[in-house]
Amino acid sequence: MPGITGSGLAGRLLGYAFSLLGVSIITFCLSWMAPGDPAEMLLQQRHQAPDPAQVAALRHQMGLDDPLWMQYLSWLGRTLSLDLGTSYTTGQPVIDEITPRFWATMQLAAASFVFLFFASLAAGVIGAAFRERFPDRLIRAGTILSMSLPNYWLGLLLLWVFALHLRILPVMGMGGPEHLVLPAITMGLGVAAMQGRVLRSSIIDIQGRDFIRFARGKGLGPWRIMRRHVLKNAMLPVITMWGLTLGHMLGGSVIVETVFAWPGLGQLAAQSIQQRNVPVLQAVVLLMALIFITANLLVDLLQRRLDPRIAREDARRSLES
Amino acid sequence: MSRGMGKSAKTGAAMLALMALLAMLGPLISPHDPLRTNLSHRLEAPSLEYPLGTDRLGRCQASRLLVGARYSLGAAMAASALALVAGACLGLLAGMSGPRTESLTMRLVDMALAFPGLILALVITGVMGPSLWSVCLGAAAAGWAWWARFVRGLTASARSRGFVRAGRVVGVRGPALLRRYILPQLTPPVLVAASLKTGWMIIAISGLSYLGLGAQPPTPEWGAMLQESRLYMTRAPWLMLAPGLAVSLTVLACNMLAEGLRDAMDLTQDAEVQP
Amino acid sequence: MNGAAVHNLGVAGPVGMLIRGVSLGVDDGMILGLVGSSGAGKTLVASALAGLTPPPAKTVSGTLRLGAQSFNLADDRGMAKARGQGVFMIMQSAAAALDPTMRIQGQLGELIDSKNHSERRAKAAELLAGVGLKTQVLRAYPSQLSGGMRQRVQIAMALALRPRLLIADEPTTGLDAITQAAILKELAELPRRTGGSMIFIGHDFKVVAALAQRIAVLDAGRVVEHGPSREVFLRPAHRVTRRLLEAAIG
Repeated sequence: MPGITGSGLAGRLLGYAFSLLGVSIITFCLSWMAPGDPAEMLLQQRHQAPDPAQVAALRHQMGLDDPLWMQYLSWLGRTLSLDLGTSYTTGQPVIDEITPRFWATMQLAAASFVFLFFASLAAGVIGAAFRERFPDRLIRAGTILSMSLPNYWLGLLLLWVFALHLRILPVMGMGGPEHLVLPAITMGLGVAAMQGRVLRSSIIDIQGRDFIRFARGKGLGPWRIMRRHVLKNAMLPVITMWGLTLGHMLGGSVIVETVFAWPGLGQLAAQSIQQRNVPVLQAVVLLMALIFITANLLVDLLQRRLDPRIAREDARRSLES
Repeated sequence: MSRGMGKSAKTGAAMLALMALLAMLGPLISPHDPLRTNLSHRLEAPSLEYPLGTDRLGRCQASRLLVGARYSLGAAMAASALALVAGACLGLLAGMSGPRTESLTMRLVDMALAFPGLILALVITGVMGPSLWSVCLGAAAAGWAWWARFVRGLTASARSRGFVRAGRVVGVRGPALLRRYILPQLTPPVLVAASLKTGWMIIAISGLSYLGLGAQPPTPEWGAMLQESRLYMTRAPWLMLAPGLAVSLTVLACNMLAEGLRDAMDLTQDAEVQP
Repeated sequence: MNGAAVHNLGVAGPVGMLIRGVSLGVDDGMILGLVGSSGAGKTLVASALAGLTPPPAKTVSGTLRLGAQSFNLADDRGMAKARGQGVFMIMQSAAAALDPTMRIQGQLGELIDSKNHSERRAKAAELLAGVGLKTQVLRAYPSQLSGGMRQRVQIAMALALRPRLLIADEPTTGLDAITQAAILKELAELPRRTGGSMIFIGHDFKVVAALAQRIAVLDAGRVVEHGPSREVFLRPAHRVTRRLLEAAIG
């Protein structure tokens, strides 16, 4: 996602820094946009009656009477030193609460990514190979259907069929690798369909290029051309989508993890909203945004590595400007 | 539109029209009062009296689904329109103005896009407290930034077209340039994207309702109905099937319409679907 | 049998025949020039001979004889055996012919029959040296090379394959005059180095006549004149040939 700073590497890094700044400001704003006085919440959590004098004293102690920018800077300083406050509901440091959640979500996202990578590869390759014939039409119908299924319903359906009726997969929670299957599919199916479609049209586009004809002219076999020349080039637009894909997964995790009782960041986000647990919500949102924009940056760097033309474009642009 | 509407677009449009009709007629044609509880008819299987069975309080599921359409679809339409108008205005502003305004606007957009889509909607809904309104605003707040970036990109490429440059050379400026040269070029891709985005909004809004953040009981919103049904998955699976199918079919109609329009209007670029 | 020959090549387009009854022959170590104006069908003939007719065009008839072996040009699967070491085409635009995401080493290396990586690398470097390119070019992507260098890479590929029939389709288009001359010199020696024959396609009569021993003139998908270069050059029989000659000499 190139911003307006230009799409050179330096511009991209500058954009990343801006995004970090923006994320921190918006996340900070959450604490005073949210209803409820933090000092009062803290007192309640300590089972003390929130009498006005005590609240005022605590507010002063917490720095809530300082100007906003000072509050922001001190919040930023605490956040950078990983002091994310204490959870209203458990009284534990927020950092301890989100660390295991982070790993749970990453595990789910990784499993989901493996699924969607292979599913989209199969759909794209088969669709392109049988272009406009029966298998392709079937896959296209399947993909548009998959993109239309809301993930909470897909999750419930999968639970109903595989866990309750066929009883071949566990119902809920975390455990062995079999616990990952249903939530990973639920999280990845829609994106797999989307990427399969992009890959299909990308393969068809690449197959019509001269360098593929030339590779045929070299006497290479069709499978070798597909693997070495077509797929490598056709994957580039798909890789562009990977950053977005992670965003889709993180956003989807709120629902998927709730459906499957998967103890990750998404479930925590949903819970902390329902419990009005602002410090936890703040930490989860900050972490998710951080993961998302960092992943986007990494995808960008990966693309530069895979497509040497981007680097040349950048050089040309910087010469022109 | 070069080839007229394709089969896919026609099917999608017809399905959407049917949904809209059902949503409008909902209370008139529903067999029962969607809110009337009847504890002697709890969790009944579909029958002639109750075509889609009854829920845990003995309410008619078919009536709830029909009346619920206006909440689910109405909120999604409103959120989608809000996001489109706000985002498109900002995008046009950025695309038509000088580099300083453009850079400022796009910075703002980048900030909003740094959050995974549904997370922003979730947080804003959470801050405002659960209601159909806050879900609607939350989803719109998560959607405008995508529109701003999309429309800015379209505007920039429209402006670089030869005949637009020619128009500027002969002195067409400001609103006239926008109306006569830019907007007509934007319309087809915006229509396709609007169809896709409305599908996304339906999923997002009923998803947030599923989490209990949207329409509050006893309002028969589809996502909320699904949430209520999950406890009775084994005893009364029809409770879970009907609302989910309703959401899926509506989104499918939106996607088919978008696909058909894209083919019919010969748009090559894939409007990327937002997470 | 010696050399390569094509008999009765026919290529159909979506609305009608594009190439009709083209027959050509060329001996080993020799160069046949194929000239014609833009749109005469030169590139299509070249692609069809290499078994690479671009859709929606389709080869419908024709036999390709390479030495003692015969191939049906209309049979794409059968042509798979001929492509590469039998017939190989150097494309007009090397920028379009080379895979943009693969280093030269990979693209040249996949033509060298050896399982050993360092052996393949050494052979590839040797091939590049044979066309006047440095070993460092192996590490480069096509976009990092100049037009002339990219064309030399294609020539190195021809040297790696040693095809019975090499087709060069206007390989100097878009190059500056000095580079053009250097590439032409490289191409002139190519049949002797590969031991096969070559069909050189161009629109500039002077260039083709200087390079080729025999010349065929193509117009609207048919061969209208055919003979030793010197003869065609000095005594053009067909009006199309005369027009091309006038254009070349000015």
